[in-house]
Amino acid sequence: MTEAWHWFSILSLSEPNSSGIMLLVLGVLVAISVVFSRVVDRLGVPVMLLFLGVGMMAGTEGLLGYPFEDYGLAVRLGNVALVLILFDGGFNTSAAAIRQVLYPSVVLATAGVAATAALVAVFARFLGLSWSEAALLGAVVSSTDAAAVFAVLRGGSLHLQPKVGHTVEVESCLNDPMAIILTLTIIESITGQKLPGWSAALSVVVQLVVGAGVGVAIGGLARKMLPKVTLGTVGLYPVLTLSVAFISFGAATLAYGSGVMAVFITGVILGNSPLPYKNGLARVHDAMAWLSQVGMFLMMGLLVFPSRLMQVAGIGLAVGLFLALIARPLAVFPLLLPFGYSLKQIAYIGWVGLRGSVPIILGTFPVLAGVPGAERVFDTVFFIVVVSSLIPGSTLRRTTRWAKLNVPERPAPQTALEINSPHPLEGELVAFLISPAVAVCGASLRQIELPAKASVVLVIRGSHVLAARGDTMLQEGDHAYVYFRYEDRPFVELLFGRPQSA
Amino acid sequence: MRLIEILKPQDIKVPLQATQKTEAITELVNLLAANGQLLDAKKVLDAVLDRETTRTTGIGNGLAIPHGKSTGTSNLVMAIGKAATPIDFQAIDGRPVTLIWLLSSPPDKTGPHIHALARISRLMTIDKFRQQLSSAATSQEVFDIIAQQENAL
Repeated sequence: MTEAWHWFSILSLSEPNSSGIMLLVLGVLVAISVVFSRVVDRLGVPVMLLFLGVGMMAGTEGLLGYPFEDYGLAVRLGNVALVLILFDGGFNTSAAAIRQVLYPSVVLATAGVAATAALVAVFARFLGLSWSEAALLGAVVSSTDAAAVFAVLRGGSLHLQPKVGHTVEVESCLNDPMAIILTLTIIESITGQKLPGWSAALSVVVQLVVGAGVGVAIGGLARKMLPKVTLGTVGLYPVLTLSVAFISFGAATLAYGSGVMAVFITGVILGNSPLPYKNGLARVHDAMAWLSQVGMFLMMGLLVFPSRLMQVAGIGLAVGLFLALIARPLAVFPLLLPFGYSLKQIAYIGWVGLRGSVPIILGTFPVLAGVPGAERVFDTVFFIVVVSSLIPGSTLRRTTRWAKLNVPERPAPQTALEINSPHPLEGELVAFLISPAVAVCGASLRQIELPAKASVVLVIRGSHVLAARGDTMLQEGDHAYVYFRYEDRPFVELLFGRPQSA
Repeated sequence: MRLIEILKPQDIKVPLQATQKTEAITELVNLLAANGQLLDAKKVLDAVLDRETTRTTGIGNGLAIPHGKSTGTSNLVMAIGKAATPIDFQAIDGRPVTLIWLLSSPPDKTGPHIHALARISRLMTIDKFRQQLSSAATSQEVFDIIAQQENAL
């Protein structure tokens, strides 16, 4: 226990003070992480590494010396955070996007994960680890991480081609079950409970199918029920959707399904449905997902002992580099070839195999199961995650530009007007920044032939709010608010260009 | 306004040689230029590509309507291309595009420009029309199917 924490511990004799200290530390750490996230993002470093770093600084061997070594609690909180992140990820993923990349993502999430695990295991064995340690290491780091991928692809200023972005995102949501199953199977075979075999392969399929089934069932049920529920106050709606996310994860897990898969699918279904107060819901879940990102990586940072990390630095660095530069690209390449991706796109997807919290959570499993050498594996995993995130993560913006996979769409400012209604709406109100290139620029509203149930509602020009009248002319730089039915969106976008909230 | 008053059979190309979005748009603009429909092909192309950067004009169901306003043309002109193999247009529904209907007009013809976009979109919502177009094998066939549908409206 270091000096600093000793000073705190004098204060923490009785309960209000110990909670006070915990929250004070947590608040300061979260605040530091959030405030500096923009700076770090500008430098091109994935923000999660900042959170991780702040956690390590505060941890047992860091400046603050906060003593945290509770692997069990870390797993449980990590799971809750994962649920919140995946639900929000699903909520903001369009069904069309998933349809577009479903098959390649499923292949990457199953065969891709297994191939990555095998390659890493062989390499680790080659570096001198025992077969059981090597296999464990391969399995633990085999899946890409939804939290990391979403933080990098959606948090920063990256505008990636939708097909590539969606593939990486959907893959990261689907591949955790495979990694979890691989890890558990190997732990079981090490501790002598049973040997891996066909039952393990079958169990992957069962978990994915059951997870998807439970996700669809609960999402479908919630989609029907939510609009019918009347609550006393608006603030309770996000609490209700949150409970749906928890139920989905919990029920799927208890039914031998994949909880992560279920909660993601439930999120997708609700996100693509008309819901009461949907804008508000989206914002609340977004905030919770961010808090989870920050919290989870902070916690993982707290859990790490830099002195132990140094002991595995060599092997961690080697395996991390091997994973990022060889194993992942090698596993991805043959699997994506049949799906009509260009070589550049495949290379990019191979490059963006960001690891994150799931390997770290998985790394705690063998520690909890008492597998010999498990702590060494955990430390190595931590190192691998940092290396294999730092290298692709920090080069992502340059790589994207270099491979010309960024979408040339201009970033649009935030919307200021929205409909919040207790009733699900048949349409939506969307803001468009009028660029000189779009068809409606220079047109009077009378000239704009909109579908029968669509209308320009309001035009904002600088600080002026203009009533939408027939003779109102749309000019460059105007923000036009258009109301339309969901099915008319393609046509409205054809005339007005890119929606500001997309 | 009827589309066949603007569209000419020689401005329809079946199949396109292009296999990519920008190539396909360029091929259609060059077709219009070769047929003497444009004042300045470069300006027209730049305007259409500039519009494409704000948002894809691939509006789903395998259809894209790239368009732009520029001084490179003195009238509203249009060209149609059918891709031999579907082209990735980053379309709204994520599906590749086979039919590309390009529009270009001078900046002062905003009304007709919007009207044409609306009319094309409306025609394309008719299932039978879409099916007929997708099986059309020559430019004359494409033209006739459009003429027939417009007469039926």
